[in-house]
Amino acid sequence: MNAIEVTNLHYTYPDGTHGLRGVSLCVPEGACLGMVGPNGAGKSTLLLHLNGILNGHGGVRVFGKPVHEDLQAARQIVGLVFQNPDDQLFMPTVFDDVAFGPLNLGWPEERVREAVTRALESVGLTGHGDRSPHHLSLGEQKRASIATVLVMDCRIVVFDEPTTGLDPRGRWEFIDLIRDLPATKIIATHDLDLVRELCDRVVVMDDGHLVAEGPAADVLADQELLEEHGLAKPLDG
Amino acid sequence: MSPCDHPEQATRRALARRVDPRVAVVCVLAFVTVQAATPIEEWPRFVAYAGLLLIAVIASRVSLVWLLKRLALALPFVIAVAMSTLLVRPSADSAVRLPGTDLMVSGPLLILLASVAAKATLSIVALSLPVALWDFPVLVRALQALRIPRLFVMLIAFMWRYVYVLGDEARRMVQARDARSPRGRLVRRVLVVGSMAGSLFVRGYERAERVGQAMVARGYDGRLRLLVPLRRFRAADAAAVLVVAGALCAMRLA
Repeated sequence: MNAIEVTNLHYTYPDGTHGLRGVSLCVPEGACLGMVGPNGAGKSTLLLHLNGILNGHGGVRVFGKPVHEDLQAARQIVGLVFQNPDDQLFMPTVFDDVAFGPLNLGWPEERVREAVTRALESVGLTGHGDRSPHHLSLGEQKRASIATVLVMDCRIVVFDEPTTGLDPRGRWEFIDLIRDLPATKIIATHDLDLVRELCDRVVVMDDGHLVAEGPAADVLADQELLEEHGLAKPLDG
Repeated sequence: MSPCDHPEQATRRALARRVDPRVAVVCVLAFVTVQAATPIEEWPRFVAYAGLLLIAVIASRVSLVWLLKRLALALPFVIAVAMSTLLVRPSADSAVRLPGTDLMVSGPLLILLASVAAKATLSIVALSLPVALWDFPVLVRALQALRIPRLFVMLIAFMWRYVYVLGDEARRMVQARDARSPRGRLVRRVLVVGSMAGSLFVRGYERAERVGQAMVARGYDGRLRLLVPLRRFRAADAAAVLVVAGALCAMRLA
């Protein structure tokens, strides 16, 4: 079954900039899809459609149901991890931030506490619940961001530039963490090593179009395609 | 930043457990309102207010160093009024000699300076006490329980989270300015601060949009929900509010 189906999706920003120009895409359940492309290609715009934050012209279905038919349900299924943890973590403490989504879903207090404890444990942040997000390192902030999504038992997790700003060790730890997530994953990134490490399929976007799609190994080996769309070939690829 | 990084932390925590945060918030807001509404000419009342506040400070065991750092917030206002007092030429009928000097200053401005200094000091010390005693989410929950308007509570919650983020951004912008104008003239550097403030506003606005998207993505529907249980409001809590209210009334009206 397809976890995500996007059909001929168009989106224009209020200032007239075209974000998406007829994108169509299918992501099977359990897949890990890499989304690459230069800045301004429309990757983030597409991600924001997947749980109904943006509403363009065209179809977006999550497990067969149109996103805007039941936004609350779609937002429980599709979790977004934003590029900058300062955007994702907005509550006074890590605990409050991770509990934010479940409380909005109306879960009872005991279930929320258990889920938050489990989510923090799964990202290696047990005991950090009382800390202010500002006092975490960037790596810890990124892991706390994932916990805010994991806690809602999301079946699809969408990452926007997940490894930006991390040092090499933190980056590889984070890649391992993403690999172990039991969910369908969509990763928008410029980090081609991450794509090669985690993704089974890759789509290339440029100027609001989906310009190429295929197995990760094939796309990353296509030097001409990567150069044409402003992407470097992996150094040891 | 925390006032509780201190050996007396356990004592403060014990006090925070005994006193309901709603009681503290109501008493502090009442104190700030009453003293702010008192004319500075009735200065003996301010001595009484300061005495009441001193009792609260001693009972809370809050570090004086930490409180003094908070008081630095009042400095810009006091300095602004002090500059006006010194720079404005007083009229003949309002001029008074500054004690210990030959300097003549405006009497009404001198009174204004005393008023701003006294009220700002008392307000900041009073408002700092709950922040020192309770974790911030507990205070936000207390404000919600007291039916403070939702928008106001959210503004306070976000300010607590993002004041540090914006502070960091401002610091990076200052570093970038200094890196490109190491020997720039003071006037030029001050003028750049204006454009930096504008840039900081735009960045803050854009961040607000992204934070809004992150909130909506996790099911936000306009209500800020916190998992901070408040105990049942007891007769002793009501009595505590009445005692403080009575003391304030006596100080204001006596």
